[in-house]
Amino acid sequence: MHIFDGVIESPWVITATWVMGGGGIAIASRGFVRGSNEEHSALVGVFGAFMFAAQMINFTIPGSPVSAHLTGTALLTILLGPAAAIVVCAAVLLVQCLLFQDGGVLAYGANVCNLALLPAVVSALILRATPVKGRHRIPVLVAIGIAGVAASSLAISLELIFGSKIDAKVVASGLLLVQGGVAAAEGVITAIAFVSIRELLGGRIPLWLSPERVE
Amino acid sequence: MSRLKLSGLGLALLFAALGATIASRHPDTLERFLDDEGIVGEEPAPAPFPGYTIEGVESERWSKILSGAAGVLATFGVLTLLVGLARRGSSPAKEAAGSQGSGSQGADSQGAEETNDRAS
Repeated sequence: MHIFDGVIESPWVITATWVMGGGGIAIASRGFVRGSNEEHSALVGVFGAFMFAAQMINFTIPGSPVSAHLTGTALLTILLGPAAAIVVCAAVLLVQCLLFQDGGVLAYGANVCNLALLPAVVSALILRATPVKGRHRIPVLVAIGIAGVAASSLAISLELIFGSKIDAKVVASGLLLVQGGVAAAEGVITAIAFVSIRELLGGRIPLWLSPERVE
Repeated sequence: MSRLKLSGLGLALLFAALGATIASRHPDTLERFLDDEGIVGEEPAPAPFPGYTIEGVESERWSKILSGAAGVLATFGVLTLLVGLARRGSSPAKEAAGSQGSGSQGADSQGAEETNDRAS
């Protein structure tokens, strides 16, 4: 779901997404540095590497001619907290854009907004409202994945509507609606991955939710 | 390097190899949509591994595995470097003292606020 260069033509939309994306990275970096210790710093590099690799696994959405891969922002948000998740995702996007031509250079601001900032904020809001335990555990994990992709899809659609020559109705029917499968996949993988990582690392994660709010 | 870092990186490299091997050939939803709408975009800026390939490596799979491995290490390197610099820059005294506990006490009130916030 990376936007490449030449898709968003409006300089206003490009500027706005750079301001939002850049501001988001700056605030998240400050938040992360303030709230972090040695353990956090060690985990951030590893999870970044892991997310980059996980995003390489793209699978066909059953019954369709399209593929999807984990974005992982919701997963990183529950594991590391929203600030660290934004920093990690922005770094992954930077490597993808500069080394692999995966996502445009001018579109980097938009990609940070869509795939790092918004899904992290939305997942964090859900996690603040609901504990991840008992019979709510799996539904909440699935929900943050779905909500993260929904936020990304909505942002991408708005950027296309205001920034490209594609008609709003076409964006809504051709892109927004088909994201359901991608969102469902993200939700399921987020739940499976969190449960597995929790099993592997035990009490070391999550880093930001207090122990009584998560199991 | 700690065991956690090594095993995490090892697992990430395995994932990259898996991704390179089983990856779907279909475009993602956005690529497909833009393609249908006839939007091809601009010629991207030159990059060392365009589209997860390495020039000169014949096998498509190995080209993707090797470039993926480079990406895994690059991401780890970039984050480790940035986080190291940021933490050193923000608190020289803490780093010099070298005590892990001082990190969470955070000296300034905003740091403490954040910790409380997260605990509530």
